Amino acid sequence: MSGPILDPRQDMTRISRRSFLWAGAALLGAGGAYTWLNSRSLEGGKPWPFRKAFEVNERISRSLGQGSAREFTAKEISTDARVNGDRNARFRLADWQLHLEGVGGPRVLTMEQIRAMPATEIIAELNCIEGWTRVIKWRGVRMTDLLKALGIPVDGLPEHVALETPGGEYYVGLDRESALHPQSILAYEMNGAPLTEAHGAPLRHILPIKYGYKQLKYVGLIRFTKDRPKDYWAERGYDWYGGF
Amino acid sequence: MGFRPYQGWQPRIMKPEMKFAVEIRDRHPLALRWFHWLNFPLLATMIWSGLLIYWANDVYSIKIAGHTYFHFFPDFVYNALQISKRQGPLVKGQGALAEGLGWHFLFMWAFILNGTAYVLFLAISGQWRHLLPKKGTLKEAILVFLHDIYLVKRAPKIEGYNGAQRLAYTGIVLAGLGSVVTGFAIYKPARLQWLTNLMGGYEFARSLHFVLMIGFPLFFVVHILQVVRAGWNNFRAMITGKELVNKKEAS
Repeated sequence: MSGPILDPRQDMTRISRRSFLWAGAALLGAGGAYTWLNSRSLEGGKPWPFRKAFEVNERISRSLGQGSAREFTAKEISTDARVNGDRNARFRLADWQLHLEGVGGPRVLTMEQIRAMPATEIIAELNCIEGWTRVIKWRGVRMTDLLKALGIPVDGLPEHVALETPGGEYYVGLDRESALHPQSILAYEMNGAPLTEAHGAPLRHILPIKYGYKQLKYVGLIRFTKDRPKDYWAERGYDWYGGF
Repeated sequence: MGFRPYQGWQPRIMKPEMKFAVEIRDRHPLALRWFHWLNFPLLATMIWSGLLIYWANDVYSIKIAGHTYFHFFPDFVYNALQISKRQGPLVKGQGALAEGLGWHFLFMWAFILNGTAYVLFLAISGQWRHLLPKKGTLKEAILVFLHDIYLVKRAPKIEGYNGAQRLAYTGIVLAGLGSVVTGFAIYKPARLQWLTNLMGGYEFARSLHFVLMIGFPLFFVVHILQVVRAGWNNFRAMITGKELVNKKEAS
């Protein structure tokens, strides 16, 4: 054997130094990435990369087709229907009317007219974004049946739908595809009884293919519109789409 | 590969009569080390943002015969993490829940990509042979465990990863996969209704998702203890990829 043999321990020290420098750089990089993400300008109450991620996720979801929510049997109905949030819609029940816009001239409907339309029943899960669920039986008129009863052709309608409480205190924006889903129902009965005030009387929107925050209580206005409508919770950091 | 002398230090000359010389041996491939370390902040972000989401409706607890033994999570946990301070007056325009959802649904993609890359690399490189359980793994795991808790003095003689490690490292990959699957079941219960049904429905899938999450910090604690017990040379190998091993023949 010729020449000196190097001590591998010293070589290991050199390798280690290089690797640990890399590790340190990676740590700094990760810290920088987190700081960067959190400090971006806000879009709808959210640093914009997170808003973008919501939008990309929406596109991925919608590219998968629509799907529909699971329906349940009468035995599975929850016994403790939960009231979430305060009634912040201010209106007198006696004065209530449903306004339709963007359907070729405004239309106004009374509860009697809506009740006279073909009714649909659905037992579906209400999924709150907070994590809880309740299975509830709803009765009302399908969005598509309502339009059909009024002789409004669905084909020519604009891309989006805005729903608002009578005073505009709370508002939801939907894509047309979801709003016209067969499970999209304007409900006036809950678990076999007339809808109570706490649960959104006289009319609430049931859309089990989306989270509860996309399902408006106290519906006073339905407007078909070209642009993406504003949305109460999307302005406060939540996903505009909110769909399953 | 020979060892290039490094400028700036004098190589120590080893005497030929040294019986137990050491040599440098390759241990962990570079890609695996990156996947491993990247997973740490990614999984940590998923758990943290998941907690922010769970906190909005923290209903899970361990109940036996009507008595609650443990609530997920006790107030001191929330206080220590200062989660409650994120609610109420909106933080940067959003509450804790919205903040958690934002991180969760962005980082899930990175977590999935990194995990997939890790598993693919293991499969293609053949490294899986070091990690998957094999015959005798369970018995070995028990012996290792007894040794680790100082009940058995003699450490079982094992080449590479021992049974306890094989079980832990395979289990944690399955837990990661389970988290992704249950996660999608509760993320898209309409479009992926078949998956949600397969996972026992939305509520059950969500509780599975939670239980799997609890598994990660438990694994982490055990993992850290094992690493501490295995020593510096072993830990350094996860950073450098190389380890020093005794060379038994005279140089």
